[in-house]
Amino acid sequence: MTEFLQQIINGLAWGAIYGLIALGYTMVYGVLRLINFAHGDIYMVGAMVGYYVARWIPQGTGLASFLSSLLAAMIVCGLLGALIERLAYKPLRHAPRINALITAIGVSLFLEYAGQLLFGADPKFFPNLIADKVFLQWHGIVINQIQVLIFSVTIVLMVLIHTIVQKTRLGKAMRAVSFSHTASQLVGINLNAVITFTFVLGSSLAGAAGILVSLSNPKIEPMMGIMPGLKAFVAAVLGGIGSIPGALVGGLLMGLSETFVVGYISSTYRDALAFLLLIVILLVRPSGLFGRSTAEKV
Amino acid sequence: MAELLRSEHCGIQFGGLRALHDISIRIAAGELLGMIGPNGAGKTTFFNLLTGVYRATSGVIFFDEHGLEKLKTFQISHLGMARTFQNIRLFADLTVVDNVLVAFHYQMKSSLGASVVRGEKWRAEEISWHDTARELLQFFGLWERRHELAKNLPYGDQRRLEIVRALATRPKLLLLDEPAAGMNPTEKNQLIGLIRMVHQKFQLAILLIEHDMSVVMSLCPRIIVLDYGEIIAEGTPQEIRNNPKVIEAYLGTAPVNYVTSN
Amino acid sequence: MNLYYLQIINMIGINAIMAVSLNLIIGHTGQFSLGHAGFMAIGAYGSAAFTVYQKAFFLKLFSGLPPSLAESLLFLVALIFGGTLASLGGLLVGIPTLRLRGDYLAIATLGLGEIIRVLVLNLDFVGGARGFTDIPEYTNFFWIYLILTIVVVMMTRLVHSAKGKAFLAIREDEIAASSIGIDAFQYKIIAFVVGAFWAGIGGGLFAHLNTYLHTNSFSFLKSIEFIGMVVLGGMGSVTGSILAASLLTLLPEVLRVASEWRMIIYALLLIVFMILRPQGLLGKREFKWLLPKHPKGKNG
Repeated sequence: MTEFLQQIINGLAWGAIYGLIALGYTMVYGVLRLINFAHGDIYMVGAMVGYYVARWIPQGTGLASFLSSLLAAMIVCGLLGALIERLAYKPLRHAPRINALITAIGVSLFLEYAGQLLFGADPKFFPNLIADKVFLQWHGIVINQIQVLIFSVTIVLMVLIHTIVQKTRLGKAMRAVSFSHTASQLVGINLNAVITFTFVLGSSLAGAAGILVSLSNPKIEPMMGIMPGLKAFVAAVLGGIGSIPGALVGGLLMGLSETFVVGYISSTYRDALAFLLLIVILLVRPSGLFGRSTAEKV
Repeated sequence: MAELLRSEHCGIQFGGLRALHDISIRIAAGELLGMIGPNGAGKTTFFNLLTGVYRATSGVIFFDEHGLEKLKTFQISHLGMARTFQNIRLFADLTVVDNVLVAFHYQMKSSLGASVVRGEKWRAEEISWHDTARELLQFFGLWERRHELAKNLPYGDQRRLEIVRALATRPKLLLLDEPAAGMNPTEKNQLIGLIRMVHQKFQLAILLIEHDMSVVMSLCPRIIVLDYGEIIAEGTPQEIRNNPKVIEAYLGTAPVNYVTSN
Repeated sequence: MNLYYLQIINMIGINAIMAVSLNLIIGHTGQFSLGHAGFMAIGAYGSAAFTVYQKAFFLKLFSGLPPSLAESLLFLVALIFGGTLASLGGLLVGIPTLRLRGDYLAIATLGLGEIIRVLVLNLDFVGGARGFTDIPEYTNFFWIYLILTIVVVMMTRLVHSAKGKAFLAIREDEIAASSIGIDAFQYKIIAFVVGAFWAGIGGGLFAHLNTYLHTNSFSFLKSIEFIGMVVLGGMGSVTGSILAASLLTLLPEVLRVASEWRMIIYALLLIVFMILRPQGLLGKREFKWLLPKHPKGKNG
C-alpha cells in the first residue's frame, strides 16, 4: 500500500511535467490546427538554457538560482517559439496541413541536430540546484523537495494560463481565433499577434517543464525532447485537444499510468504504453476527456 | 405514381439545437419536387439526413422500400440516390473525365485486382465506361474540356459537372442543393432548361432545394416550404405564393403601416 | 562496380520501394500515416526469421534443386511471408485507426510504429535489444530492381484505372466520394494493406542486404524520411517518389564530408522546400515515359 501511494506521488510529479508540455500543444493546436512536433525540442532547449544559466550564476541559495534559470529558460523558449512560428509556420498558414506537419517535423529535426552541434551530442549533467531532501514523510511515503517544487510551479503556471485565457482580452482573442480565423479577423482581431502570443506562451511552458525535469533527471542531451514531446501530445489528446484543464488531467493520467507500468510491469513497455493509451482513447472517445466533438459541415 | 421516398416525422438535434423537426414528406417516382426556405431553415440538413451524412435523431426514412436508418452514405448511393452540394464538392485535382469515370464505381464489374492484371475483359469494360462518360459529357457540352482539372473549370461548368457526376451513378432520385446559387439571371434561365431536360431524359425524380424562389416556381409543380426546421407549407407554386406564412418567413413580420399611422 | 556505389544504388532501390508504397497511402488516398517504418520492421524481422529458422528445412525439402535455386526460392517465400505479416499488421492497425481524421491518424500510426518496435525489442528469438545477426545475404541489385519494377507497374495500374480512381476521389473529398457510392473505409484499408505489404517486402530486402537488424533502424525518424520522399517527389506522383527517394538517399552521402551539418541541412531543406515548393518536385505529374500505357475510349 505504501509503495502504491508512493507510486502515485511520483506519477503525479512526472505527470505535472507532461501536463505543462501538453498545454503548449493544446494551445497551438487550438489556434493553428497544427501538431507542433518541435514542441518537445523546445522543452530540450529549456533544459539546456537552464543548464548554462545555472552554471554561470554563483552557487548561492538553491531557490534563487532555480528561479533565475527557470525564468531564463521560459524567456528564451518563448522567443524561440515566436521565431519558429514567424519563419517556418506563418508562410504555410494556407498550405495543406500535411505540408505544415512536415515543416514541423523539419523544425524538430533542425533543433535536435543544431542542438547536437551547439551543445554537443554527449549528455550533460544539470547542476544540483535543489537538494534531493525529504520535504514530508508520512507512514513511509516520501515527498521530496523537488516534487514539491514541481507541483507548486505547475500549479502557479496553470492558474496563470487559465487566468490569461479566460480573463484577459488576449485570451478572449485566442479563443476566438481557435473558433475561426476569418471570423476573428472580421471582428478586428490581430490574427498574427494572437498566434505569435500563443506560441510564446506555449513554448515558455515547455521551457519551464525542461527545467523541472532536469531537477529530478539531471542527465540532459539534445534528443531528450522527442519522447516526452510525443507523450505530452498524447496527453493533450487524452484530455481533449484544445482544452486547458484537459491538458493537465491528460498529463497527470499519462504520468500515473507510466509510473505504474514501470513499477509493476516492466520499464521496456513504458514507451509503448503511451501510444496504446492513445489508440484506446481515439477509439473510445476521439474527442478526449474534456474535448467537444465537432462534425464536419457539409 | 409509385412512391420513391418517404420520410416520417424526421428530426435531428445538434446538442440543444433543433435543426429539423417532424419532417414528413413523400416523393413519387419521376416527380420534380421543390423545397424552399430562408437561410438556415434546415434544407441542406435534410439532404444530409437523406444521404446518411447525419443520422436522424427521430423518425424514419424509406427509400425505394429500404429503411435508411442503418445505411451509410455509400450504401444509400447504391440504392439510387445521388446529390450535388451547395458548396461544390468536385474532385478538384482530377480531370473532368475522371470525375465522371469514378462515379461509375458501383456499376463496374471488374475488380481492383483486374485493373492491375489488365485482361481483355477488363480492357473492354474500361473502354465501354470511357464511352459512356463521353456520351454524358458530350450531352452536357463538357467533352471539349475533358482533360482539364475540375478546379480550373469556370463556375457554371463546375456546377454542371457535379450534376453529370451525380447522374453517372444512375440515380432514381437526384438531390440538387441550391444549383442556382451565385448565378446571374441568364445563367439561371439556362439552368432551368438544363434541369428540365435532365428530368425528362433521365427519367428520374428530382428534389430541388433552392433559396431562389423564381427557379423553383418555374420548375416544380409541387413545393415544400421549410422554416426554422419545420414544414410550414406545401402545395403548387400558386398556393405557395399566396400563403401568408411563406410571405412572413421570407419577408419577416408584415411591415408596419407607417403611411396611415400618421 | 565499386562496392560503395553499388550499396548506394541498392539503398536507392529499397527506399524507392518504400516511398512508392507509402505514396499509395499518403499521396493517392490522402491518409497521413507515420508508421511506415513499423511495417518495414515487421517485414524485415518476419522474413529474416523465416530464412534463418527455415533454411535447413527448405534446403532439405528442395534437395533435388541446385542449392542456389533452392535458396532463391527460400528468399522469395521469406519475402512474401514478411510482406504478408506486414499487411496483416496494416489490417490490424488500419481497422481501428482509419476512421480517425487526418492528424489523429498520423499520431495513431506513429504510436503503432513505436509499439511494433517495442514489441520486437522484447522478442528474444529475433535478437531483442542485441539485434538480429547472421541473416543470409540474399538481396542484390537484381532482386531490388525487379521488385521495384513490379511495385511501380502495380501502383500506376491501380490508380490509372476507372475503378482505382476511387483512391484519388477519397483523397480529394471523402464525403463526395461516399455520395457517389464509394466505400471510403474499404478503400483506405486496401491502400493500407497493399502499402504495408510492399513496405514489408522492402523491409525483407533491407534485412537480407544488411544481414543485421536492429530496431533503431525502424524508428519514427525513418517513417519521416519516407514521408519526406513522398512529399518532396510530389504527393501522388509515383515517378516523383522514385526521384525523391534517389535524391534523399544520395544527399546524406554527398553531405558525408560535413557529417555534423548533414541532418541540419536535411532539416532546413525540408522546411524550405515545404515553404517554397509545397507541391513537391513533380506535383501530381509523372514522367510518363517511365510508366505503362493505359487504354482509353474512342477520342481518349
